[in-house]
Amino acid sequence: MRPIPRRGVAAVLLLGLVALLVVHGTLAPDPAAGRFPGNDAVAAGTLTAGDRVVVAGTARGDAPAGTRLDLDRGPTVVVRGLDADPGADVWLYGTYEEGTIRNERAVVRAPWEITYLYAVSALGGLFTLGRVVRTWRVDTDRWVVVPREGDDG
Amino acid sequence: MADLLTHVLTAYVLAALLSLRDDRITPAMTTAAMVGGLVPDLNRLGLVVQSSAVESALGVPFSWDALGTVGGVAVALGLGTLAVPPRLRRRTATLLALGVLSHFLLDYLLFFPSGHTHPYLWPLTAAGLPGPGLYLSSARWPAAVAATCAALAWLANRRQKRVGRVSDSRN
Repeated sequence: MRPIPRRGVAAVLLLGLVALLVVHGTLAPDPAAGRFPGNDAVAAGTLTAGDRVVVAGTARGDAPAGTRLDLDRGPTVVVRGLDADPGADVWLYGTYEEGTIRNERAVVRAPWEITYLYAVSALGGLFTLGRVVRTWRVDTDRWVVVPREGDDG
Repeated sequence: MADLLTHVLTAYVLAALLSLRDDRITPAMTTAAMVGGLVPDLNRLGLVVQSSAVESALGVPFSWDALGTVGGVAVALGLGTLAVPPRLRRRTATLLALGVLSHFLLDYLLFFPSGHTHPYLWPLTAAGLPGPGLYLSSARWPAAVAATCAALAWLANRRQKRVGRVSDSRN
C-alpha cells in the first residue's frame, strides 16, 4: 500500500478546519433549535418584544423597574425579576420586553466562582502540558511527535 | 464546559483504568486521552483573540465555537493523528477520541438557563440539545470527584507496575 501523502492530508484538514470556523460563524440564532439571541442582539437593537434571549453580564444594583445588568461587550439593560448583588456574574434566560428583560431562569454567581473556574481550568491545561512534555517529544528529523517510552519511539 | 481540570482528569481516569488491562495504553497514550479531553475547549482561544476581531480582520464570518463541536473536533483529531508516526496513528486516534467523548458527555450534563446545550453535534445538527442541567461549570465538586478518582487510578497503576516488576524479577 502506498503511504498516504501526509502533507497533502494535513493541508486538506487545515482547509476543512478553516471552513468549519467560517461556516459556524454564519450560524444565526434560532429559538426553535434552542439557539437564542444573546448580548449581540441586544446591542444591535434587533429584538422585538416577546423574543426569548440568553444574556450574560454583571449586576450593577437596583433600578426602579428591576436590576441593572451590564452586558458583557454590550449595553446596560434592566432585568425584572432578578435577585443579584451588585458585582455578581449573571447568566440568564428571559423574555425581551421593550428595553427590559423579564428573567425566567438565571445563574447568579459570585465573582470568585468565575475566578475559580478559570484558575482550575488553567491548572488542568498546565497539568496536561506537563504530561505532554514528559511523555512525548518532537522528532525533528521526521517532523513527527513520538512517545518518549523507549520501546515505543 | 465543565472546568478543564475535571475534563483532563476524567480522560486520565478512563485511560489509566484501561491501561490496567491493555499494555498498548502507555503513559504517552494516557496523555493523548487527556489532550483529547482538552480539545473541545480550544474554542477558548476566543478569550485571547475574539471571534469578532478575526471576523473584521478577515472580512468573513468566523466563530471559534466550531472547535467545540463534533465537526471541528473531528478535523482537529485528524490533524493530531497525522502528527504521530503511522504505526501509532490508530492507537493515538482512539485515545484522543476517548478524551473527546468524555468531554462532550460531561458538557452535555451541564446546566444551561435556556435548558438547551450548545449545539455540540454541529454540523450533524445545529440544534441545542435539551439537557439534564445537572451542574454548573463553576461547581467545585466535579473537580474534587475527578481528582479523587484520578488519585485512585494512579495508585492502581503504580501497584500494578510494582507487582509486574516483582514477577519479572522472579522469571
